[in-house]
Parts: sequence; C-alpha cells; structure tokens
Amino acid sequence: MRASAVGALILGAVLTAIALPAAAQQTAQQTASSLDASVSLRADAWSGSRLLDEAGPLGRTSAWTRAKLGLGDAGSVSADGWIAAQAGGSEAGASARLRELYWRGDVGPLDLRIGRQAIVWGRADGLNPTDNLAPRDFTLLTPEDGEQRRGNEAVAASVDAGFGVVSAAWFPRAASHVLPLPQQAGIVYDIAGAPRRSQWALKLDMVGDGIDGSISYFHGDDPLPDLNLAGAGAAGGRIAVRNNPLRVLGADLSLTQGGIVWRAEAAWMQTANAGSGDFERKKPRLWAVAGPEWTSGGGTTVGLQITAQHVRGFESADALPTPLQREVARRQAALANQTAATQLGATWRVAHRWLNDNLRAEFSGVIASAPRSGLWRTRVVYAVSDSVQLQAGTDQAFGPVHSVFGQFRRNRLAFVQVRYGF
Amino acid sequence: MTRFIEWVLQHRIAVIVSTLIVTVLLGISAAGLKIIIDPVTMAPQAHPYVKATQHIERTFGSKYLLAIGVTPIKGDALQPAVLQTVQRLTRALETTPGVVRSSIVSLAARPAKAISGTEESFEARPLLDKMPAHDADVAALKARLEANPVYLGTAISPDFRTAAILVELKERSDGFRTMMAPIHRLVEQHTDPAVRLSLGGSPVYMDTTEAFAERINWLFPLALIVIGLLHFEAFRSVQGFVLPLVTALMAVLWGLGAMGVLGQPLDIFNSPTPILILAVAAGHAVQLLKRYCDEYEALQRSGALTPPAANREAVLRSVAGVGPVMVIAGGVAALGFFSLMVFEIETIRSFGLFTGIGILSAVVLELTFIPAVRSMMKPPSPAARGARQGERIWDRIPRWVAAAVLPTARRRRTMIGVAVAAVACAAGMTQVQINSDSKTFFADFLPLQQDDKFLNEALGGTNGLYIMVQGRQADALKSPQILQAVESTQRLAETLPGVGKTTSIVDLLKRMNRAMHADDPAFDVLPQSRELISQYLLLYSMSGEPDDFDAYIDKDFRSLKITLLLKSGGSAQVRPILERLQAHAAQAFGSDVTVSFGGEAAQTIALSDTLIKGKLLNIAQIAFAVFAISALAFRSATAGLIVLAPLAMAVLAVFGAMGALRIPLNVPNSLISAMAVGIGADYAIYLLHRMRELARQGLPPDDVVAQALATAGKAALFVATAVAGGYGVLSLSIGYNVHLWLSLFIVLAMVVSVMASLVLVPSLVLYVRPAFVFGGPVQPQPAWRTVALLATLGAAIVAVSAPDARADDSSALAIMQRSQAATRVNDSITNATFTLTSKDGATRVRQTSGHTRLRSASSDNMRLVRFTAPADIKGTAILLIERSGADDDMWLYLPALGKVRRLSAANKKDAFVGTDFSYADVMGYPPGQWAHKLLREDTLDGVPCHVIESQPVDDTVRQTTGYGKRMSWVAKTHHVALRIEIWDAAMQPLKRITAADVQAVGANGKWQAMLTEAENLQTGHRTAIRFDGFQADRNVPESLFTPRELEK
Repeated sequence: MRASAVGALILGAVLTAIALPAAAQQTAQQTASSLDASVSLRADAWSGSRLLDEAGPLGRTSAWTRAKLGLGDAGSVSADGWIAAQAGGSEAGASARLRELYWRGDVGPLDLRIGRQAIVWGRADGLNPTDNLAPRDFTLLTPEDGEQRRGNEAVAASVDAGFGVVSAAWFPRAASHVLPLPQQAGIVYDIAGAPRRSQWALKLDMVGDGIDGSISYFHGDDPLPDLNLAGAGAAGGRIAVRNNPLRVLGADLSLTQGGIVWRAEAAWMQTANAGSGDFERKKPRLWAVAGPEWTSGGGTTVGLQITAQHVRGFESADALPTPLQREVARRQAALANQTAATQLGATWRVAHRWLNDNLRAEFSGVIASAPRSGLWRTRVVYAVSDSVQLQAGTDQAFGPVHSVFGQFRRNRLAFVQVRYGF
Repeated sequence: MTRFIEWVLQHRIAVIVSTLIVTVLLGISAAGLKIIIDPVTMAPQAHPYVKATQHIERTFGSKYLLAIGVTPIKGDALQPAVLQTVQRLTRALETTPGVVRSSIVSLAARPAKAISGTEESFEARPLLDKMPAHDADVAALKARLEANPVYLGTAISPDFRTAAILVELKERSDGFRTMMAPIHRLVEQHTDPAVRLSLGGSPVYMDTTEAFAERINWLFPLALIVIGLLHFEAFRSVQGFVLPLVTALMAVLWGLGAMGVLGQPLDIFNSPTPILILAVAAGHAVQLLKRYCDEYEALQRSGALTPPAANREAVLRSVAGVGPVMVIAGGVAALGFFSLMVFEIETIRSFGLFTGIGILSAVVLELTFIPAVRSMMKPPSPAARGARQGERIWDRIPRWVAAAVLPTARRRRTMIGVAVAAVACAAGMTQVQINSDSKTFFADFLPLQQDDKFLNEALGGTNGLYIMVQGRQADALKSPQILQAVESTQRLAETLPGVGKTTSIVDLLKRMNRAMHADDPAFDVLPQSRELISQYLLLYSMSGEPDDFDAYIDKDFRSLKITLLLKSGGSAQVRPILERLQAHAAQAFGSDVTVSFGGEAAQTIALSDTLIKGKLLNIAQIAFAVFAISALAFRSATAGLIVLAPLAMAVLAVFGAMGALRIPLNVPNSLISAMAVGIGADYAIYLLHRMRELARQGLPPDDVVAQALATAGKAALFVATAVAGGYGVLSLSIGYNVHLWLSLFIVLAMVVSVMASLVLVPSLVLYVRPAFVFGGPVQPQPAWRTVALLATLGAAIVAVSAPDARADDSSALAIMQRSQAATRVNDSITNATFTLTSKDGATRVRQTSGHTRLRSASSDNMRLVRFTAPADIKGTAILLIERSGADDDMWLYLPALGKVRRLSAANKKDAFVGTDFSYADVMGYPPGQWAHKLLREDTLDGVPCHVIESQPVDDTVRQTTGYGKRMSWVAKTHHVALRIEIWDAAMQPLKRITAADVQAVGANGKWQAMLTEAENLQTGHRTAIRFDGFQADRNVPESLFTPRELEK
C-alpha cells in the first residue's frame, strides 16, 4: 500500500472519529425513495472544433441528463452524463460520457460520497489554482466551462467540526485533462493517460459573517500534463504527454463589503522539477488570483481579477541546443503558463440580465503578460419559454503561438445552440 | 493642472479605456428611460391645496376630471342613437380600470336618478330606465331632466345638444398615456359618423403632453447635427466637428446614465435635458478646442517642434490654460442647476440634479478623455489651418464690439444703450403672468384644444374644483345649518365668472323636498330640520341604491364634496374664484366643520404659488452662487459683480420677452433662468480669465480687451451660436408650445448673454480697471482648491435643500414590529410556484422547494430555496442568512458551475431570481431601519388595516433596498401586511405587493399569506408566488442552512 493511500485511510479514521459522537443527534430523515431527473436536448452549430484543426462548420446534437435516486435513509444515487452525435470534424460520429455516478449518504454528521464525482475547489472566478481534483476535457464542444468537467472515482467525506467543515477525498487513481494538441507532420504524441497512482486531498472550510474561506492541500498528480521530447529522429519527433506529481498548498477567501464581493485564491504548487535546467516538468510556482465583483441593482455584474504568478527556477528554453528540444520546451512552457519568471494578468466578466432574467449577455476574458496573450468570450442566452433556450457565443484567443492562450488561437469559434429541457 | 494633464497624457490609453467602460456602463443604465408624467412629482406635496386634493381623492376617489361629449351631427342628444352610445360608453367605463365608478356622471350612469313626486312621497328612478322609442318618451325624458337640474350642464348641455359623460380618473404613477389608453380605446370602439365624440379635461392634455414630449427623440439627433455643423463651420476641421460632439454625447450618456442608476424617468421637464447637456458640453469643448488651435498655430509658427511634438505640447498648454477656468465655469453652471433642488416640486429638483451631473461630466471628460484622444490624433493639417485663416463673421463681431467699447465716448454711448434695453426688459417683466394650466402648452389649432373649447361652451366646464366639508362626527352633515352654508357657497360660486356648474348633495335634497310637495317651486329649498333630512334620505333609499350619493357625501355623513365645473383651469381665472369662496366659507361655515379646497384647478394654483416662491429663491440663489464662486475664483468681489452683469441682462431679457409676448410663466418656463445662467455664465468667466492672462503678459489695457475679445470672445460666439442652434431645432415642434418657448427663450438668452458679455465685461473692466486683471502676477491657485471649493458649495446646497427628516412614530414602529413578527415562524417547509407574467400576458413558471428557520437566539431568518423547475434552472439553490446590523450572507449554487459562490447581499434591490420581488422583499424589511408613521386607518377588502408610511432611516438603507418609501396596509387582526405600495429611491411609484389567502400556521399563533403578488408599476411585469403545503414549526435543523448543503 502506498503512502498516499495510508494517509487517506488515516484521514478517514479521523473524520469518522469526529463524526460518530454526533451520530446520536441525527435528525429524522425521509424514508421514501424517489427519482428526480432532468433532460436537456441540444442542437448546436459550431464554426469550428476545439482540436486546433481547421475543421468546421460542425453540427452536433446531444442529450444531457442529470438524475438523482433518493433512497430514503440509505442516501441517494446521483448520475450525470451525455450522449452526442457530431457531423463534421475529426470526431464525427457518436460519443457518450458518464460524468458522474456516485452514492451520497449521511453517516452521522459525516457526509459521505463514493463513486465518480466532480469535486470543484476554488473561490476565485474562472482561474483557480486549487482546482486540481476534477479533470476537464478542453476539446469538448459545449458553451459552458463547467460542462467540460468530468468526475473522477473517489471516496469523499466532509464533516462539520464546529470550527469549520473538514473535507477529505481519496482517489484510487489520478485523472488527466484532455487537451487539444496541435497536429503536425512528423510529430507523434505519446499520451500515457493519467497515472494509476492514488491521490488525496484535504480541506478546511470556514464560514463567518460576511466572509468565508478555506485552506487546502492536494497530494497527487497534476491533471494538466507536461510535454517532453521522448525521442527524435530524421523523420520527426515523439512527444510524451505525461501527468507528473503535484503537491498544492492552497487557500481561498471570499468576503462581501458593501455591494462588492472580493474573491481571492492562492496556491503554492510544488512539482518534481529537478531545477532550472529541467524543461520536462512544470516548475514549482506561487499563483494568486484576487479581485472584486460588483453587482448593480439593475442586473449588471462586473468582475475584475488580477492574477500574479512567480515561477521558481525559471529559465528560458531559448538556450536549449537542438531546435526540436527548444520547440517542445517552449510548447511545454506555454501549456504550463510558465513563459516568464513573473507573470501578471487579469480576468474580467461583464454580464447583464434583462427581461426578468430571460435574456442574459456576458462578455468575459482573460489576459496574460509575458508574452501578452488572452482569450475573450461572448455569450448571449435567451429563454424563449420555460423549456426552450437559445444560446449563441464566440471564443476568441489571441497572442503568440508560444503563449498560454495564443496556442489556442486556432480554436477561435462561434456557435449557436438551441436547448429543450424537461 | 499641468501635472494633472501630464499624468493624463502619460496614461492616455488607461484613461480612454476606463472612460469608455464607464460610458458603456452608464449607457446601459440609460437605456430604457421613458417619458412619463407622474403627477405626484409635479405637485408641491406640502401645499394645503395639494394635501386637500389628496384627502378628497382618498375620500371620494376624485382627482382628474375627464369629459366625454357625445354630440349628434343632426338633432339633439335625446335621440335613441345618441342615448344608446352614451349608455354603452357608460357601461364600459364602469368596468374600465382607473375610472372612479361611483362618480361617473351621465344620463345612463347608475346613480343618475330622476327624483319625482308620488301621491304621498317621492321616488328615485333611473333617468334612462328605458330607452325612448317615441317622441313622447323623449319629451318625458326632457321633462325629467328639467325637473332635476343637477344634470343640466353635467350629463347634458342645457340646450340638449350634447350629452356628456363626466369621469373621474384615479391618479397613477406610470403616466397619463397609461391612464388614458383604455379611454381612447373605448372612444375608438364607439366612433360613429353620425356622432361627434369629444374629449376634454386635464388628463387629455397631460396625455398629449407626454406624447409630444417624445418628439425629443427626433429633435435631439437634429440638434446634434445642427451643433456639429456649426462647429464645423467655426473650425473647418473634422476634429472641430467630432470631438466637441463626442464630449457632448458622452456627457449626455453620463447624465442620462445617472438618471437610470437613480431610477429617474424622463418627464416633460427633463426630457430636453439631453439637448441642454449637449449644448453646454459642446460649449466647453469649443473653448478648449479654440485654445488648442491657437496654441498649435503658435507652436507651428515658432518652428521649434515637430508636428506630433507640437500637438502634444498644444494639448498640454491648452488644458493647462483653459482647464482651471473650465472647472470654474462648469462649476458655476452645475451649481446653477443644482440650485433647482430648493424647489418643492420633485421633478424640477431632479431636472436640476441631473443637468448638473451632466455638466460636471462634460468638464471631467474635457479634462481627461478629450486630451488623451487629442494627443493621439493627427495635428491639424496646414490645409485645415488655412481654412480658418481670413476674417469671418466670428472675427468681425468681436472687432465691432471692440470698436464700440474701446474709445471712451463710444463706450459711454454703448452703456447707455444697454441701460435703456435693461429698463425696457424690466418693464416687460412686470407683465409676466403665472399660469400653470397645461392647456397653454398647446397651440389653439390642435384638435384637443377645439374639443375642449367646445365642451366648455356646451357644459358647465371641464376643469374640476372641489370643496370638501368635514364634520367632527358621523351625521354631522345632516345639520340644516351646514347644508345651508353649502348651498350659499354654491350659489355664490355660480355667480362668479368662469364657474359653469356646481353640484352637491344639497341639490338632491332640495329636489326631494320639492318632489315631496307636488313639485311646488316654493319647496325648492333645503329641508329645515335634521329629522326631515334623515327621513328624505330614508325615503330615497327605498327606491334608489346605496351607492347613489357616493360622489357627493360619504356614508357616515361626515364628509361632503361640492363640485365646481370651471370653464378654465388657468391660475388667473381660478385664483379669484378660490379667494372669494374661501372668504365666504370662513364666514358661512361654523367652527364645527373644516372646509378645504382641492382638485386639479386648485393644484394648479398650488403649483403657481410654489413657482413664485421658488423662482424668487432660485434667482437670488443662482446670483449668489455665481457671485460667490466667481469672486472666490478670481479673488475679487468685483469679478463676481462683473460676471453677474451679463447674466442679469439675460434674465431681464428672458422675462421681459415673456411678459411682452404674454407667454405664461409655468413649470417648464420657470427653468429657463437657470438654463440661461448655467450656460451664459461661462462667457464672462472665460473672458475675464483671458483678460487676466493677457494683462499679465504686459499688454496695455486696450490690447488686453481687443485680444480677449478676438480669442475668448470669439469662442464664446461659437458656443452661443451652437447652443442657440441646438435649441433652435425645438422650434420645429409645431403646436407644442413647451418646445417653442424653450427654443425662443434659450436662443434669446444666448444672444443676449453673449452680446452682453462681449460688451459689458470689457466695458466694466476698462472702467473699473480691477486689480485682479491688471494687478500684476499673483500666486496661481492649485486646481484642487477650486474643485474643493465647488464641491463644498455644492454639498452645502444639497444639504440645505435636503428634506427634513421625519420624526419616528413609536406606535407605527410597534405595528411594523408586530407585522414582522406575525409571519416569522420558527421554521417552515414549503413548495412554491412562481408565475411571472409580462406586460403582454406571456407567463413563465418556476417551482421551488424551500426551508426557513430563525437563527438560534435571534429573530434573523435563514432561507434555503431550491429550484425544481423549469429544467434550465433546476438544481439551482440559494441560501440567504439575515444578519441584523450587518450585510446579509448569500450563496448561490449553480449545477453547471458545480460549486457554491458567495454573492453580495448588500444590493437588496436586486430582483430575486428574475422575479418582481427583490431580495429585500423576500427577506423582509427590518423595522429598525425605517422611520414609520401611522397615516390613517383604512379597510382593505373588508379587513380593517393600519396604513403605515415607512421611509429609510438613512441613505444606506435607501440605496441597498432601492426604496424611497413604502406604504403598508397592515391588517389589524393578524398584522400581516396585505398590501405594500413601494416607491423607488427617486420617489417614483415602483411596485405594489399584495397578499391574500392569509392562513394561521404552526403552533405559535403565526400567519402566512399563501398567495403573494408583486406588480412592477414601471414595467407592468408581475410575479405571483403561491405556496403549497406550507408547514411551520417542523423542527427544521439549523445545519441545513450552510453553504455545503447547497450542493446536496
């Protein structure tokens, strides 16, 4: 048994010890079973894919469903997934994904969840240094970032310890984001997938009057893989795509003051990088995001965040001897958002609601320095009726190709979608 | 100023971007402003006539009198076709929203009864109990009408040619067009080529006023084009055309955005505000542009700098040179408008406030955004500069003025001419007549004027004046002495010019007495004893209906109303009537009753009274503000007086012309002096500033004056021309005198103020030789000091004009505390259905399940709401935790996001999940945060209620709730508020919340309304919340109200 699994068991025992004395005070619960489900049928048209190819336009139909089976005293079972059919593009055809399937129940004051589940951490808006537990499929064509997430198998528990809520999660194996990788003649990607190593995480949430926050620790593998040159020959090169160990000590905070919500999040992210000359793994870094969000009485929300990052042991890949090594290291630096020792950036979100929330529009984006790159998005959603919704939007990335957002320039797209929900 | 502008130029991108962001946000806020007239904002609420009008409205529902005339093309109005039209219209009006059913007067109205004698008694039968089929029937009807003269001049003209329906409409906040829309639909439905339908009365005028005021939608772009073209003519460059307009447009957006942020709708008095801001802002821009062009020209001539470097330097020098004076001039203008806040009339206060904001916005933009943009633009090309060379009219006028004021002899003659003109204007001023009658807003040739005139000639009149007589106890008004006084008042009124008809319960009692005595004319008098009066009323009730007297007297016989129909609503006609009747009432009625005068005609007098007081105060205040700021800015009292001189001429000219042309002084015209001063003060200030600059360069006095006239004077001419041109387009608003007057007076004010500035300022400077101009170099004052000075003065004006805080009323507070406690169950579980209905009837349905619980050892509530339908928001959950003395906590869980987010709960005015309920409505209003006042007792759907007025104790509560006032009908039985009328922060009626199906819940004597509905009075949207399966005191665990529960 590996050390991480032992650690998770110890944490579980501690949580159980906290929970049991309070079990006797458990309140009466419902005993009848019930099924509650919702389905969203969608038809989309996209100007392109998110695979960094030139495919497009694409058509896509999908059915998204979310269901919860209440089992009375025995807890509940929740499931979330989708099936889709796509016309056009390299991923044409049918596909499906079970995003979540887990059982949840109360064992005394212990809130226990077992199964595939998406655990989302981080109080900041959009950029979350502590959000490393739920992998995302960045190639999935869906208007909402949250829907790109999928669950990872886990045992998760939380308990209100009086001074705060202690949460712990143990994952039998790590999980990896799915990334769009630029296809190039002579370049082969060796994608190993998520390591079969277990990982665990621990968090303490505290809530006060007008303020809440948490401190957290993650011990596992980075869901964002690293790129490194695994082999090179006359015909080209082979790039290994690997998820490497990561330890994250994080904290976040949100507080309200007047009409403003301040959100902040910071993390120290320790990797197994061997030093400034190691370009194959991310370097350790301190990453912080903070800013206010203001909501007017007229339905307008304006959010602005500053993001700052310091990379320990940063060194430019320009000095690497071979062009292929240099190219791969630059791509790795861009993917890891480690293109400079100190990087600053900002995110923004301006949203407005009209017609009693039946029409919403949003303009959001992120911009990063060194080198300057960014991404901006527009979204307009109109609820035609209680069950039919129209949505349209654009995603536009800009910046040099070896920058964190510039590498996704070819994923610029526009879409329209109609949803029917019941 | 130099350091500031250097900073702006160094950060020009940031300045431009941040300015644009602010503009976009304010632009969003400005969208959706609409032009309405809310009568509440137009009336001086503290005036006795206004209070009496409100009292009469509460008692009898009477407020706005509307007359509908039905006149056949041939024959008289007693023919069946006409009577059928009258009957159909009357029946339809009885069910029309906003119509006071009990006070409808027509031949077919249900209370319209013919009283006729029987063998031993009398009976009351409907006038139109059957439709006349033969000539004999018509003759009988005519006889009944002649025997019941109360209907002559009201329901039918004395010559029987015109039948009329007199309708009283209830006051509403969302404008007269909404009030009149159902009436217009009815009239259209009953259009008949054989019959002329005419509408008269003040609601028709106010309805048309709202419609005509929207002409500003096409006049504004036209003004924009005119101002732009005048600038182009003056500067002959794209920059000269575009940048002043950009400043002006952005300033308009900022000003309008502020209106939107504060929820202030446009009305007839502030709908021309955009043109005003446009003109003033463009004026400042021109001064700066002119200086920039001069500086750039000088730098180019020196040849020391490259064109881009010269451009930057010219921007720097121009703002450094003009900036301080712009702050002073803008401050004077803004304070001139802010000074309107002393008016008791809310709409005038808001006009002043928002115009002031718009002007300050223009100054801010001119000192930040425009220099930043200009520094990035190409400098003027040699061709463009060449186009400005050569003497043009803008150069000639200053030259002519210089020739008229520089030689001492000519200056003396010029000043004598000015003095003669001032005396002539002062003579004209004596002829000014105050008249706030809305009929004067329109040209005589318009159909509504002809209809109103026709109805006034045919009937008693279309203007309502009410006299309310109140006794101290029930049945007090059955006293013959009091009724005699009522009758004597009526008879006196009928002798006064302009009074066409009077009616009261006395007319009916007299008719009963005569009918009782076989129609003997000798008994056409009031019964002489209380007993007899009581008996007659009893006899009437045997054949009549209980509501027949509702328009005349209340059911307790404690309050009665005398209605006077007047031919005109003008102050000049109404005031003598009021004064005469007040004098009579003081003698005729004893001390046991109170007599008050109200109605729209009386309100017009109230408005005029307030105008006189306000106008005098306003002129004195503006004069003081202009004097004080100018004197402080130039460190010289003489400067203050010199700046005042041309403004005095402009005010004299405006009011002189008003008197000479017999144009009434009314609400829209009352704003003109502020406008004239606000815009015109700039000229003298810019001129004085320029003279001082030139004098410090060592120029002799004559050269100082000549050059100042050629530069600042020329710019002033540009500005005056542009402002006059902008306002000149209002003259295209044919038939709508409000726009025509504004156009005339602003053009006049501009011409007089600029010419008076060009003539008087140099003349006085040359005569006085003041030290602040010719006294040599002085220590320059930092710009921040000027800004601080203006801000302090502004704050002082706002503070002085703020309404007095109202005293709390402890019993009202206790009622509101009981009301809050009445529905505060320990905990609850319920399902709810939200039905959202738009103005056009489309509905959306949202369903929730929810839990509430009081926090331990606290009366603060916690509320967890989960949405269960429709599918797009299913799973969304909200947790609200109330915290006394601090901001509430609020978290939101969105399934698509997968996590819980804290939201700000400070903005309690935000809509609760898109409904018409705000978070404040959902969480409740802590009684301690409001000052309560018990207004009266009332009955709502048979439930006796306390009516409580609640006002926020401070601005924080006002801003966070968005509410300026609430009025709650709190049931005396279970203390639940059955109805809440809510005004927004700008005191515009905002929404109405009603509660129904109140049930006892739980085991602790608490109550819950199972159906609550909120209607947004400004949008017409409404939301109903129906609770199902509401259970209280179910031991809901406190642990449920934590953020982590939202994810479950």
